[in-house]
Amino acid sequence: MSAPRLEARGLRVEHRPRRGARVLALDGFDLRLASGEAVALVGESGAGKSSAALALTGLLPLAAGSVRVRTDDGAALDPAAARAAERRRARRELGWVPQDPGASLDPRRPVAHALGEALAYHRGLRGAELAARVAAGLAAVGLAAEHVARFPHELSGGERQRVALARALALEPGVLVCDEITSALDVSVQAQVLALLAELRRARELALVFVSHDLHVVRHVTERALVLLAGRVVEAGPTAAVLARPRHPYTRALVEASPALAPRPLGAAEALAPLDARGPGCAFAPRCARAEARCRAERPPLAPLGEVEAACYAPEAGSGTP
Amino acid sequence: MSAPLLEVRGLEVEYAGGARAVRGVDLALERGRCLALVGESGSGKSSLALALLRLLPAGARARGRVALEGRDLLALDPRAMDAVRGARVGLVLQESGAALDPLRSVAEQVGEAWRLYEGLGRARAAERAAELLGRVGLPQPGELLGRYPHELSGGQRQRVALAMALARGPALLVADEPTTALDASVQARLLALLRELVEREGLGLLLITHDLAVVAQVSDETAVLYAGRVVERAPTRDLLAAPAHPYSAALLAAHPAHAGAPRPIPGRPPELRALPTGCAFHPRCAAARPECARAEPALAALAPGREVACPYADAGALP
Repeated sequence: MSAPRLEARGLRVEHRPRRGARVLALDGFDLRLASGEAVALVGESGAGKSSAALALTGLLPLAAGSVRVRTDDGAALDPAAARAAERRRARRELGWVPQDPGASLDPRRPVAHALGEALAYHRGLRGAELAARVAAGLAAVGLAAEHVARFPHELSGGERQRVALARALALEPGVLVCDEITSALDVSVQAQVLALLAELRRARELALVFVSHDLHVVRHVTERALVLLAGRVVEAGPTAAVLARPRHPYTRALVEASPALAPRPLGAAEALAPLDARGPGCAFAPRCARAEARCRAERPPLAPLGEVEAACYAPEAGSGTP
Repeated sequence: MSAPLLEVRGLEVEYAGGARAVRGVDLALERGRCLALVGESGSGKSSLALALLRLLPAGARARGRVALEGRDLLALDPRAMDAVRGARVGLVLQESGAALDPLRSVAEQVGEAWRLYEGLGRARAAERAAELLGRVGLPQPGELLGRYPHELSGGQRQRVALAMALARGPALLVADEPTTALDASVQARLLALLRELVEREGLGLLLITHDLAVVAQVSDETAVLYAGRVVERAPTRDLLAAPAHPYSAALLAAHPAHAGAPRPIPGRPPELRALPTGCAFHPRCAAARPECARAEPALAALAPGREVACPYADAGALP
């Protein structure tokens, strides 16, 4: 494999609340992502998906580990570098699309500003040149020139998400990091945004980190999937294999609870009932039907298992889910 | 036989600016059954829910008949309507969990209705609140009573909101996107709970959503809404197996759980103040013919239990 476009090693993120014990949001997170490749981060709320995404873009302080993003000329840059110049160059390579485009766009500024700001700051564009680039950026996400002067509240949810995509792509990054970008949208609008994302990836050889709790969406968008549980990757592999023949019982429970177009058997989701997952062993052990004494005593490492890697002492046979 | 639980006839909702959000909708729902209303943003599904409870904003008008257990809610005086809300019909919204009072404990909020309407004391109300929280699937409800909304997860908050809607034992629950803001696994558990309440306790559930996967988990029957009208009505299983109206088919093909890549529906829902002539869906319909721009088709029987508002829907293609 050639040098990865994005590489993360041993990322550790801790949240330190003002009161109470510190929370380990992400631990030992590794990722190698090639140009044009799309990886999904899946898991329940609180599993560490968003922490991983933010850490990859340099927007969350790391307690340990490192991130490197490679530019077209081969430099490997740290988005959390102490040197501001390196940090700026690295972050230009990392486009970030947050979950709620409504909350991340300035309500008092027109759409032109959302795109123009980054182009003016990083590229020094002004006047007619800037206006032309803003218009081209909006056209690339399927918005008309008339949208330039609109304010966020004048846009539909799907249009706001397109603006957020255009903003993330304004500096032509090599990597796009998307956090639940379709979960607030209607199904039909969601399909439009996913089609747009696929088109942008093809046109630009984008590497994509795609955070989502919707496994159906993940199946259409990504080639590789990482399943997170309590801040750790518990299964990793080709998306199709992970979703069709999960080896970790937690992944299997997630797949079985995923809403489908046919009724799920009652109780399919019960395996995911929340439990306090602290302790020395596997975080899923307290609710896992396959757990053995060892699972509760020590944490299984991620290890190769057929088509995938799984962190489990008592893995599933991988014979497929109903 | 007693009156049906809910019978809606010719319901119209019009907003002050002239937008017609609901245009002549008929619905019927029995006890122990779930009817789903499906449509995109702007299809009128939330206006319909608010109209049933007479909670439309000032300036909006509802006409027609909304009979709950035989009584026309639209004809009740405001005081009588107050007595119906909560007691006979409960409401849960997408934001209900987020709308809990941040300054009051779970016990106070769940028990409020009993203290207010049944004169229960604080201790007895808390006791009943614990029971009810257990019924909506919250483990260790006793421990939750003293907590405040910020100490709960999103799924727990939504269950507390559901408990509040069920507190006075309503016969009908109107749930508008009750699980949309939740994570997939939390959503799956809440949907299973709703289904259980329908089957075990005979609750009538009117479920409003844009998501056909939600419909598949919970509802017996589904009505597809487009631009304020029902364009198809069918047993849920049949609708998902073979949608008859082109709009229903497009909604299904756009769903990520559907086989193949999700297919976007071209265009966008129409402006309710300037509806297209003829069938409101025809500008976005792949099967549209010139006739579709002329007259708006009425809902017509296609098969037993199935109605569709498209003269070109093919009954032969149904299973």
